[in-house]
Amino acid sequence: MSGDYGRALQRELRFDRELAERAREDLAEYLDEMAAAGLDRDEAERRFGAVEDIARSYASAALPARLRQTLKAAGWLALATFLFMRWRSIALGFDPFAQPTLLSLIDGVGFLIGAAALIVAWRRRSDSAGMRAPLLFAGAAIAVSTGASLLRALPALGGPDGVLILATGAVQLGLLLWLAGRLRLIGRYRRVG
Amino acid sequence: MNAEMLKGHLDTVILATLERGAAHGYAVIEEIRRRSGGHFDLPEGTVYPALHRLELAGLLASDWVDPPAGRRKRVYALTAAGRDALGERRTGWAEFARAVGAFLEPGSA
Repeated sequence: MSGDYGRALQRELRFDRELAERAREDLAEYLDEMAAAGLDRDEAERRFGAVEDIARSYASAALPARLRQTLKAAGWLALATFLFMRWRSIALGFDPFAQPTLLSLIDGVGFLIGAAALIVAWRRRSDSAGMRAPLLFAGAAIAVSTGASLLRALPALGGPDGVLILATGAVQLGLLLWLAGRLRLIGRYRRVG
Repeated sequence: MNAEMLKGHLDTVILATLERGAAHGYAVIEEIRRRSGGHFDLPEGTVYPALHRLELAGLLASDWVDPPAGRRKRVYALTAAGRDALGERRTGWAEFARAVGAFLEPGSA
């Protein structure tokens, strides 16, 4: 394994441990073969390519699969949001025919907008460049919907369903934070790639 | 052929290289070098991420193989989807080459 070159490649890909490990294995195989062919390390590294170019190739190669994984995760987030939203509405006895409040509107419409953005992202699943914006939008809309849904449930927090409200809220916030982390990571792939 | 010209066709070249049988990364590089007569001037390290991309797309499958001597190697093989994709790319390339050739033939205007 090369010293400086290998470390520089690892550094470029440090945002994805799995990808960095893959690059390390590939470089080790290449350098072994080149050494067996009698080539010195500097020449082998030169033939392997500039670190930035190779890191860019790895990031571009992994981006479509990472976006598909994120899309799948966002789908699960939307499903969890819908189920918890419905559960809170039923458990807390929200009347679906009552005059809508600002919070109930934000809750419902925010979710529908988020779901629509997810469908747009899914339709663009073969286009990595076009998929990220609707995914970001879906995440933001579902976050707003979740916030409104939790605020609606806030007055019932001291009641018998308080623990379940807290638990579902924590799960939703956890999923949202995880999705935000994934989307931030995808930004790194795009910057490198 | 410079690296920029080859870039869009690297995946197809790799699929065609692996059509003859499974191979590890460096063997793919050597085979590309041999069959192209050294005309493909690209950083050899770019073949590895391309192999990874094709694997993530389900067109290749990889497995670790322990040779009798030396370091274990990741060996790549075409999947059924990879064979189909290669067939489609082959047809597309033939049509493209025929169309461009019609312009480049001397006296074609």
